[in-house]
Amino acid sequence: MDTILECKDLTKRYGSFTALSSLNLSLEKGQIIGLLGPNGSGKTTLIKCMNGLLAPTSGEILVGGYRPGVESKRILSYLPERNALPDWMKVRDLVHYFQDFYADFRTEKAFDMLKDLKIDIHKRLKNLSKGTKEKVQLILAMSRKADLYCLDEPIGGVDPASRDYILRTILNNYSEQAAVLISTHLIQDIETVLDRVLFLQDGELKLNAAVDEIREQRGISVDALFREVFKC
Amino acid sequence: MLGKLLKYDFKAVSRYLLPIFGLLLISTCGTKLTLELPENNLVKVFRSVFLIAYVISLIAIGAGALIILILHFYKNLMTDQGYLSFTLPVTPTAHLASKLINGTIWTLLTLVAIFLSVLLLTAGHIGREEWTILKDLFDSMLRELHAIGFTNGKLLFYLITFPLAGTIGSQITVYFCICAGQLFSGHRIIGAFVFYFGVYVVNQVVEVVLLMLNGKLFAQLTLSSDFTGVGTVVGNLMIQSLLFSLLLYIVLFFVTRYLLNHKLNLE
Repeated sequence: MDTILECKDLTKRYGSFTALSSLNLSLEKGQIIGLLGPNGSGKTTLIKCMNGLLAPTSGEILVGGYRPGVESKRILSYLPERNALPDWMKVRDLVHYFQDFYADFRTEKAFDMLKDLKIDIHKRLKNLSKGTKEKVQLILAMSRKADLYCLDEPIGGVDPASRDYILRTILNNYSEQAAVLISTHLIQDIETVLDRVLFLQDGELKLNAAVDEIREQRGISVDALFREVFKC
Repeated sequence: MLGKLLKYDFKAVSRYLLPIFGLLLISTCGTKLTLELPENNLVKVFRSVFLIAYVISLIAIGAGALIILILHFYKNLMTDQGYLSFTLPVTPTAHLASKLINGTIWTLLTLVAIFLSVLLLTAGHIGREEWTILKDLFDSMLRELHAIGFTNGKLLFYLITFPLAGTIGSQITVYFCICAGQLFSGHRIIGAFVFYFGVYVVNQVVEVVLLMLNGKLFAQLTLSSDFTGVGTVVGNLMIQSLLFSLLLYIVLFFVTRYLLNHKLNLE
C-alpha cells in the first residue's frame, strides 16, 4: 500500500514545552483515520506541521513523500478548525477561488453539495451563520480530489442532521486512492466511519490501531477505550 | 500562481480603495462644477461641501492606501485567513511578491488619480500668462540644477528611482515588522512596532554617517565657492543613500521570506 503520511522522529518544542516528542508514524492510503487525544496532546501541532504552517524543531514529516511545500499542498486538502475563508467574498467566488488555486478542485461537485445543503451561493460569507460557514469550508475542502484530507474538528459546530450529511460526504468523496485524517473530540459521532485511530498524549503516540482490532481484541468501542486511556 | 494571487490581492484592496477613488472623483467634479457655475448662495454652500469632501478624499487616498495595504497583508497572512493563504500550493515568496507588486500598483494608481484630479480642477483656470510664469519658474529651477551638475538624465533617474524605492521600501519594512512581531508569543503588534523602531534607528544612523562622510567635502566646496561640485557631492550622497536603502530592503525581503518559510507561527 502507498504511504501518504510519514513522521520520522518529528519533534516540536515551544521554548521548554515539548508539543511533539520524537513522533514516528506511517499512514497508508485507503483509510479514514481518527486523530484523537485530549486538549494539548499535540493534535493541532501535528496538523500544523503537516500543512507547513509550523516548522518542526527536528525530525521530518512527509506528505506523499514530499516535505511540506508547494508539492505537498497540491495533494493535501486541509480543513482548519477555524474559519480561514475571506468573509467578504461571496460563496460562489470562493468556489472559483479554490478552482483557481487547486488543480484537483471539482467545481461541479462543490456547487452540487452547496445546492444539497441549500446554501445561497450569492451571499457573502460574513452574512451566513457560523454553522453554514463551517459547511461551506468543509464542502470546499471535500470538493478537491486530494490524496490526503486533513480535517480538524469538521463537525464541531454543525447540527446533528448536517453532521450526518457531512460524514456521508466524507465517505462518498474519498476513494481507495486517498486517506482521511479527522481530528475530533466527538468520537461517538464518527466512530462508525473510522478505520484506524491514533491516540496522542503529551506529544507522544499512545496508540495506533485499526478500529476492528480494538473491537475484536478488547471488546470495547473506541469511545470507551478513549475514556479508559485518558481517564482523568 | 503569482498572477492569481495578485488578482485576489488586488480585489481585496479594491474593496476599500475604489470607494475612496469614487469619493475623489465625485468631489473633484462637484468642486469643478460649482467653480464654473455663476455665483449665488446655494452654489457657495455646495462648493464648500464639495471642497471639504475633496480634502477628505485626498487625505484618505494619501494616508489610506498604505494603511489599507498593511491591514490587508496582516489579515490575509497573519490572522485566521493565513490558514488558507499558507496552505495554497504557493511559495511564501510568491505571497510576498504579490503583496509588494499589488501595493506598488495601487500607490501608482493613487498618484495618477491625485494628479488627474488637480489637472481637472485647474483646467481652464490657468491662463497663458500663468503658464508662462510657471514655465519660467520651472526653467530657472532646471538651470540652477544643471549649473550644479544635475543633468536631465540624472534628474529623471532620481525622480523615478526614489519614489519607487520608497514605495516598495515602506511596504517591505512594515511587512518585515509584522512577520518579525509574530516571533513573540504574545503582544505581536507591539513586537512589530519594536522592530519598526529598530529599523528606523538603523536607517537614521546610516543616513547620519553618510551625511557626515559627505559633509566635510560639501563644506570645503561651499567655502571655496565652487558650486559646480556641489551637485556632485549631493548626487553622491543621494546615490549612497539610495544604495543603502536598496540593500536594506533586499535584506528585509529575504529575512521576511525566511520568517515566513521557517518561523511561521499563526495563532
